[in-house]
Amino acid sequence: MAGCLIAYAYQLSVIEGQGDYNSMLQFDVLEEKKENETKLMALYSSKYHAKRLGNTSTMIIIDEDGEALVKEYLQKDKKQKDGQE
Amino acid sequence: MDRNKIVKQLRERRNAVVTEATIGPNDGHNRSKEKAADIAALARLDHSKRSPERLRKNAMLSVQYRMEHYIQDDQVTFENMSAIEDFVKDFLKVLGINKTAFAQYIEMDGANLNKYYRSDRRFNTELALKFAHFFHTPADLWLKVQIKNELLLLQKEKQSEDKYNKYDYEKLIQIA
Repeated sequence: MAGCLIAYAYQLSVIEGQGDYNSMLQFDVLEEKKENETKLMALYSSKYHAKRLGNTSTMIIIDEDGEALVKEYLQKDKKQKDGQE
Repeated sequence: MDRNKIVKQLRERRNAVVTEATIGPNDGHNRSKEKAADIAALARLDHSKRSPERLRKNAMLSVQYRMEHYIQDDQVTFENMSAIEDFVKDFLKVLGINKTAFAQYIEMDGANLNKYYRSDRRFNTELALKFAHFFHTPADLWLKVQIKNELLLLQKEKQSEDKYNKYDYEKLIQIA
């Protein structure tokens, strides 16, 4: 479910994002404990192709990573049904 | 109202829509000005590294994703529907190709292609495959747009069902 929502949000950034922010989904990972933030960032990185922006607590999903996310979570079933994969 | 007028109005309306796509936190974790500036600088840096091919790909994906959302959008009605031609025009705008050149490239006569756009001829699987390969989209996407628009037309026609009430097998049997 989370993957579908994040992929959908990425699609919106491709459609509606302006200027430098086009095709870039950003989100802040905010936890009370730093270690939890780190764990969450690792999860978002491995599962949803997110990358940490510099040394901040903000993560981004852009371009090829977002495209892969959309394929994985929003187009995967369709492709399987079509017998393309 | 003339269909062309409706399409023109819709295009104008579509261009006028500005969507706020930022979801702000509601728990007090607003970004400080400094952080917002840092993020903007990093976003600018990332954007500057994008190749022209990548920028074009993103613009193409934008049209494809709009098609996907269009198919799933229950709020679309006959009055604000988008024709296949609208999406083709958006793709061609990204590629900087005119519709005559596109028609030639997919081995079709321009006037003939217009007949498919106007639904004088039925949009078919061969055309869907040509569009799919040319624009790098799934072929079924084009057919789904076509089917959605036909269903929207059906919904509109249903409002004038009186016209079709005479087509009833029970009436035929009574006459016989």
